Amino acid sequence: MPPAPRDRQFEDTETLTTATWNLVVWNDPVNLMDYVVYVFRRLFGYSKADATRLMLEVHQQGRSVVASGPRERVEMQCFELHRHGLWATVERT
Amino acid sequence: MTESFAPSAGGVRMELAEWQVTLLGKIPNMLAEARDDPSFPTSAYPDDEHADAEFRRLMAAEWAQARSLDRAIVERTLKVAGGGVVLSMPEADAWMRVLGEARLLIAARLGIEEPGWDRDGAIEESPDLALLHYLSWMHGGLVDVLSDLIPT
Repeated sequence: MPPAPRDRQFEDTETLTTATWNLVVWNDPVNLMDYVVYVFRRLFGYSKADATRLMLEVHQQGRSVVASGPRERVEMQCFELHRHGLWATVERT
Repeated sequence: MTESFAPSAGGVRMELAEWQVTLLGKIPNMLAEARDDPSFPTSAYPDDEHADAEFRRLMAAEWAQARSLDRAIVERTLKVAGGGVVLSMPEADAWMRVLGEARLLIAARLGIEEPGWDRDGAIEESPDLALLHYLSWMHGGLVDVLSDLIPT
């Protein structure tokens, strides 16, 4: 495989360094779908379409990775989701 | 029943009937008494006891403070809600979290663990179920208003 262009290499290296932990949201039978979409939009800045897609993934597949990054940041995001009553966990990528 | 929340300049207008003020006034205390109830998500590492304990330890104070602040906002704004009040966005968000938290707590007390509980006859009628339906309606109404206020 030919070497990747320099910029791409840097981007990949940075991704490997930072995207170590995933923030996972789990399905639950109580939280309203529109509420979950709102929280995703408000906390993560997702568009309505992207937030809806992630909410449906949670609803239909039981879970969805809604963010990734350094552990400390993902833990704070997990805390914010908990604060909004969503069942979120942190796991290694 | 009239919608209780509507968009307004500077935030969300909330207008409640007297019976709603009385009913909702019980929610903050109910949540305060259920401070460590397992109905609320607090676990970040369910498969790693050590990491989970550390996460809970680090977040416990902030968690308690944030929830207490939300409840205080609800109590304070309820006092003037009878005549209608405009909630700032942080206040509206606090209401949203408190209503959501109350739903989680009541659903847990009803033993709700599967979807479909909100269909007619799915679970036995009870005052708690009626309260859950009412809070769902309130919560949904507020989320609708707040969703329209997010810049696109």
